[in-house]
Amino acid sequence: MIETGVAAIRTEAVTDTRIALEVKDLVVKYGDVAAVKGVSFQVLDGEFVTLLGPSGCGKTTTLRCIAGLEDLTSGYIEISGHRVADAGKSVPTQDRNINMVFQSYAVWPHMTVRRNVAYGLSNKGLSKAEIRERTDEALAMVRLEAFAERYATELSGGQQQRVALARAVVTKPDLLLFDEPLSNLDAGLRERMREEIMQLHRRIGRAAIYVTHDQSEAMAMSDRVILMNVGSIEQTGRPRELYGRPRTRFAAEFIGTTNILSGEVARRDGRHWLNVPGLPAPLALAGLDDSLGEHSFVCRPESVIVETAATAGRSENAFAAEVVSVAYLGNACDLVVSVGDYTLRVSAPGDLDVPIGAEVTVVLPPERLVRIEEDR
Amino acid sequence: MTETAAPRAGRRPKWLAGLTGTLLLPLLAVLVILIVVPVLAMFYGAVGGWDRKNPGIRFDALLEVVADPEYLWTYAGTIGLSLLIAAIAVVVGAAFAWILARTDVRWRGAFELGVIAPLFLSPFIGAVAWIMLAAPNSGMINVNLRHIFGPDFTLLNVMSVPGMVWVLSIYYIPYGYLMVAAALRNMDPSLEDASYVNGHGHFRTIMTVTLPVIRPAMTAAFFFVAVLTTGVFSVPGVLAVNDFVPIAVRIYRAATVYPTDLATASALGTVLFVVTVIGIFFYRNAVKQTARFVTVTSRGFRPRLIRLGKWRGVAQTVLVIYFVVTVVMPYAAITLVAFTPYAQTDFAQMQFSFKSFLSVVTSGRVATATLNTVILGVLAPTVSVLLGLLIGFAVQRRRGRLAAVIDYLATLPVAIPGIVLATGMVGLYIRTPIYATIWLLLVAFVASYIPHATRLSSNGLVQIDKSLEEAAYVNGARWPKALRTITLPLAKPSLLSAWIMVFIFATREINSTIILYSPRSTVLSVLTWDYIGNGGVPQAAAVGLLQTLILIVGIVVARFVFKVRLSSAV
Repeated sequence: MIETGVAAIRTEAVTDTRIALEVKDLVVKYGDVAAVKGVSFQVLDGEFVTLLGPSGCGKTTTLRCIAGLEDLTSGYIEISGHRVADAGKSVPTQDRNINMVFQSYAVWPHMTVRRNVAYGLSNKGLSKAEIRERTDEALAMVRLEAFAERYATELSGGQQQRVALARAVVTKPDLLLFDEPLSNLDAGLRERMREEIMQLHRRIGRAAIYVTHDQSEAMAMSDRVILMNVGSIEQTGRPRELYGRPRTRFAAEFIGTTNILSGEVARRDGRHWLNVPGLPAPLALAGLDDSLGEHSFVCRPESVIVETAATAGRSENAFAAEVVSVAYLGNACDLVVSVGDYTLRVSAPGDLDVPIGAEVTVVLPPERLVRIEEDR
Repeated sequence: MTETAAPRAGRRPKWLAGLTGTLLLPLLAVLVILIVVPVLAMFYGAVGGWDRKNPGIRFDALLEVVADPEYLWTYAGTIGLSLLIAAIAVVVGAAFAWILARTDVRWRGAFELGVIAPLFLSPFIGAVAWIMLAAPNSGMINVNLRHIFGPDFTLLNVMSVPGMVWVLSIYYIPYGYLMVAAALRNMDPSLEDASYVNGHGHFRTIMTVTLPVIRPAMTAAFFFVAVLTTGVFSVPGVLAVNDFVPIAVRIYRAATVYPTDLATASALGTVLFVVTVIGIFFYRNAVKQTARFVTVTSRGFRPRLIRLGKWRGVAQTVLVIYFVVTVVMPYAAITLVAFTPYAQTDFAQMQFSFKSFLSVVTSGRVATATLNTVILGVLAPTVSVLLGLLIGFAVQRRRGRLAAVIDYLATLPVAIPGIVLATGMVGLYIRTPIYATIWLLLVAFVASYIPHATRLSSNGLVQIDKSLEEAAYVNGARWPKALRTITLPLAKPSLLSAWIMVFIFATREINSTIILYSPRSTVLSVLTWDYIGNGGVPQAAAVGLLQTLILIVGIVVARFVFKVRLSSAV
């Protein structure tokens, strides 16, 4: 009984997931310079997908192509199964049934909050009563009912961004696009707005594409992250996969802080070892990976264990280290330590209290050393 | 996925999609008709193209105007005159700009308005007023000084080359002032502070820092004024100096004085066009240089003001006298003469009466001209600003080759003096129903003022964040709706500035009207011209005063009802 139930749910889930967006081999060139170099991905209905990357990686250009605010050079884009852009043709933005939240809010200063939100509905041939009802509903969603008759310029940055959110969801778009919507807000407000956007997305249930350069924003909000670099996709995956199994050196370094250990993998005594130049001893590896030769491994700072004198010496991959710097953060204590010629970043529990210059033992557990697949 | 499955029938080839098909191509067509075709028509006229009695292409008119030594002197004189006026306008304008931006003189705002006031008035009416003040025989100043210095005394003669230079300088100094003042305002004040902390005094700071930074702006202003004055017909025309007739006046004579000779007029127009195009080339180069010195950083704190000490009183006195001489005296003179029954300039014998003024301004001709002036004064800016907005919108929102062509065409009329444009339009429109109507004047005015309307609207558009319009598109609006509901309301202050500026230009226009008007489509400027030509000085004064009043009403409404900042309306 239980098993058939699970199977039933699975099939239902499969038939229900429509492809909301398909981007295929997208190339955008400005003259001879390619801003986007062949990007392909899909977004399912209801999914929250983030395009993450440093400035100039092509994430905003990709988003603007999806919105129809920019022309693509080759490739194609389909929204809900309909071709909206390819090398020859382009459906104008206003006919794509999308909506967008802009980095600068783009809340119209000469209109009241209500008129801002109702703007998109006035293009849809709805009755006045219907427009009013849907506007009120959207304003209630972002808790701005009381501000409906105010002018946008009388509102704070966070409130303006909520106006922009209400305006984007009120038209019930197939795709909701976010172009770094939180980067103009200060830190505390940003976290609250994050939560608000996620709740709103869950209520609306449509596909959302969110552009940001802030990796913590991407990790916290997304179902899936598409990591971009210089116009191409580096890696796509759930936040956990991206953090836990970065496929490239760039992915490892862009998401979170990390230690990268490079060297020769050799086989000895029935297991694999990594010879890192500058480390006093080879590192034991957990997996029996067959690929020997030059490789790089990621070890996240929180995976490194700091042992005091009492417990030292019994673990594998334990090294004597000297503390170079200490940053006490309350919940954690970030250290930089030197092991031989090597400098390691360590994130220890907050209760660790060591002075600069102290001798400690650091342990790099073999199962926490993750090989980078494409070391470029 | 078949085509028919597309959500809406919005799929179009990219080259026709959005702005390109619905805005850029129509705009290009309008600009070609308004600007390119008349210029080509003038070239055609210069080779005898419009001459129906002698059909066929001939080059005698062109050869005459490029080979006849008399004409060559005209060109040299015209260019020399405009360079001289440009130099005066820039030097005096820069001096005023520096005093008002960098020293501690009082009543800054009032003085600024005083310096730029001539911009809002008509140079032609100014010249008429100066005839009343300083004509060699009957000029008010000369006549009344004869009471003291004897009957043979003549202090001033405005109907001379120096007179021309004087009157034109008054009306072009504001351009020099505004362009240099803008450069001083945009200059990072810390550049000067850095000179002071390095031990330089005021003089060395001006010479080694301020002047080099504003020099490109001064060069730009110089060529801008030179181009504008090269094509001015009205002032030299009305001051009628016998031994020096500039190109524009020669065009007027060839086109209107019997026997009219459109071929010569067009040939001269071609020469004038070439001269102004060369001037614009230098102007554009200078503008490129100014971009190098634009410093938008660290604005917001005021530059250090130099204490003038005892010189402050001197500077203030100079500014007051300047305002009295350039604005108060001429308009006082024209007002006095407008209310005297016959051309009486002797204070000892002056009699005033409203009768003559009223009889002039209530006559049928004046009523028609007033109505035409007001219609054109409202329609020309409205149409120009709408076109300017569309051009600015198209150029800024859709970059590319087509937009660049439109941008270029929209700035071209700066290089086409009104009288040149009109000469081209005569042959082109003579057999159309709008010939000899005010609609022909409207077409000429709109073509002439597109650059100004476009420049000011673009200034406004630059300040509107592009994403405000993109937000309209993602909310389902097409570009006309985005323009109407988002761009237009946000650009309103700049558009109002543009409107009032073109209103002033259109209300005082005479350079193209003088060629294109008919008795039905006459305007106040032309009536003044006629009255002066026929010796009706009091009538000319009355009509000139009426026109000035219309200008002042327009400016007051703009300033106090629509809150237009006048110093930005240029």
